[in-house]
Amino acid sequence: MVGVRETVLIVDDHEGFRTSMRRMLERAGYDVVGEAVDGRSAIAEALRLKPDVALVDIRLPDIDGFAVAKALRAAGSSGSILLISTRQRIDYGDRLASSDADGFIEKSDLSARSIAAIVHGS
Amino acid sequence: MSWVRRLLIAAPAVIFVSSWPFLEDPAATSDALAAVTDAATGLILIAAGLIAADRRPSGRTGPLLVVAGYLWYVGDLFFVFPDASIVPLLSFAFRGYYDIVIAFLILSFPAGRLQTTAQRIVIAALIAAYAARSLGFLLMAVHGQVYPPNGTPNPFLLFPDAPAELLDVWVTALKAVLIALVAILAVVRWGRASTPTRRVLTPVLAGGLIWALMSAMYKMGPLARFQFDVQFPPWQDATWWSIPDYLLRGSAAPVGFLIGALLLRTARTAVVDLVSGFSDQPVRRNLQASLIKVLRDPALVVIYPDNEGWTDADGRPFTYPHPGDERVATPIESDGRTVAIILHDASLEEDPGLVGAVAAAARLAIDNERLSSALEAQLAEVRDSRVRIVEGADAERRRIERDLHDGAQQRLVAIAISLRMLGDSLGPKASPEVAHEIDAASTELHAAIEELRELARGLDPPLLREAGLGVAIEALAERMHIPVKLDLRLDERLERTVETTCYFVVAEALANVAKHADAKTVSVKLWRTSDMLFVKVQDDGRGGADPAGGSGLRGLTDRVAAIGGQLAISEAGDGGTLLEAQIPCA
Repeated sequence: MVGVRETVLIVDDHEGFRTSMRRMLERAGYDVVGEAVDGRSAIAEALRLKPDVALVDIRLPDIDGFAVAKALRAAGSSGSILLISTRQRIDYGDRLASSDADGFIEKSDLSARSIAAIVHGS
Repeated sequence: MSWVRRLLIAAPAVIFVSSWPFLEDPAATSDALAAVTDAATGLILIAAGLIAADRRPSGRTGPLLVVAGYLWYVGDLFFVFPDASIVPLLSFAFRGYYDIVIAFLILSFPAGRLQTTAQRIVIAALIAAYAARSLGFLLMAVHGQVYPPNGTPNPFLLFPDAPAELLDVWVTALKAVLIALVAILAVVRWGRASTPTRRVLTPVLAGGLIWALMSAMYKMGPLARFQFDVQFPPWQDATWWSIPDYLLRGSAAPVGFLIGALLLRTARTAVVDLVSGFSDQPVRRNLQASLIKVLRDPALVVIYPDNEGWTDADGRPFTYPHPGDERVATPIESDGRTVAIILHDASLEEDPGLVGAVAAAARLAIDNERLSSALEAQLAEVRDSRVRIVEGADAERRRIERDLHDGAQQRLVAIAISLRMLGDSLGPKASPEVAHEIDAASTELHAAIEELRELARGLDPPLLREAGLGVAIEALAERMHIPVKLDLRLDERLERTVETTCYFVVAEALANVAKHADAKTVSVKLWRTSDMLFVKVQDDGRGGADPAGGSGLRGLTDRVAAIGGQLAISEAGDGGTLLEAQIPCA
């Protein structure tokens, strides 16, 4: 872990899930700098806060996580984008492989370790 | 009319006529042409009568023509049975009565009813004239002749000194005048007749005029000779005249009636023409034209009841009853209400059977169309409601899937994260029992999450909605434990119900293969035409799938049928199972 804490943006429309995530991430040493409840506010918040990691739920009330990742990449965002879902990888076929996100984690597998594995490639 | 009855009616005349050549020195057969013409005339009349009776069974034209045919031979009895008691006397006294019937028919064909007072007076006068002549010859002596010629005393003779031939001369001249009047009335009637009547009347009029001209001319002859001592017509004895004389005098009217009778439409052929004329077009558009053709009445109109009044076939308002409209109305009624009215020429009333039969056929056609369209509407409604049921069920599945995803799944995931945090925070300090309990709870929780996820996936596969049929089927194939050969020729997205139905067909087929088939491989083929999506799932397993068994397949068959498709299961050639479905997609 580096001296400066990594910043995280949590994008999910379920408040209970956001709260659990925030507690888990903060306990693991991340700095949760913001939360967003839908795709459009997620893009705005990510561009404003420039977090190191954006955890983006695929299923959002307005646009989906794939669209958020695509918009962020198009806007030049350089932070890691992790798509998350209660569903499994198989449920999205090859959409995950061709998406602009850096990785995908099933929500039930979410942990500081699984996030770090994708962000830092270890 | 049956052939037996026809034979019974015509046979006596035929036997009578065919007996002539065997007579000894028969005066009637001395001139071959005269004999043939004479014999043929009666037979033509009888034939015309039989045909007319066949086409208008309820009319009296047919029987009257048959009677005319037999009356024609009355005059011949004089020659055929010259020695038979008073037969020659009666034959002579009553010959020519067929003229009355011919005159009546010329004025009444084909209905057999006189319509004007003038017609009735002339026919009554004609009957009186013929009766007067008959009485004259029966009651009076013929000057200078032994009469009857075979020497049999005349049992009716009352006035031996009164000369019957004098009466005959004047009565015959009177008949000539009356027949000329019949000709005039016939022309007037033809002029007033409507198109349908005129058609059958024309040959009758032509034959009738020739008959009238010839009869009137010859009936003036005795008077001219008796009173003025001249021969009329002057060419009566000319050699060239004998052939046209026989042909015209005898055959013109019968041939005219024969042609007229042949032109009469039978109710049966009219109905056949009408019904076979109905095409796939709506009856309403088609009926009037068909009726005009079948009844040969160009002025015919069919009108239909409307909320406020009547409309014609094109839906334009129609004034009915219309003052001054002389057409006759024949209503078409169904279930006690008038569904249409045929306005047609009054002359068609002469054959109520024809119009009645045609109206009945039209009613059937209208009823049929009404019932068909009602049935069609019901079917369409059933089809629509089936589609709505499928769509409603799909929407409900999506709602449940969303509720699961937003509710239980999220909560369980949150609990899983909390549990993991709890485990992490306890770390190595935790007692082995607690650590074990946390592990067990976490495993159970993940199993529950997985089960929920499977349930949600079965309800509304996210990949199908988001990525389409091809990708969703590829994902299905990936989850199979045996190789799946995919041949998916589908580029564009389809209507949601079509995609969902097709997805469930493939999903159910693959699930059955996995559960029952014991197959090594399975192939899924998907392709579409402009309006149909085709699915084929074939395995190399042990076969024996029963489309009726298993609620999954039966439900799917219903679902496919509900949106207008078909699903069939059969044995594949190599023993496996072949599932084929076609689903309409616009």
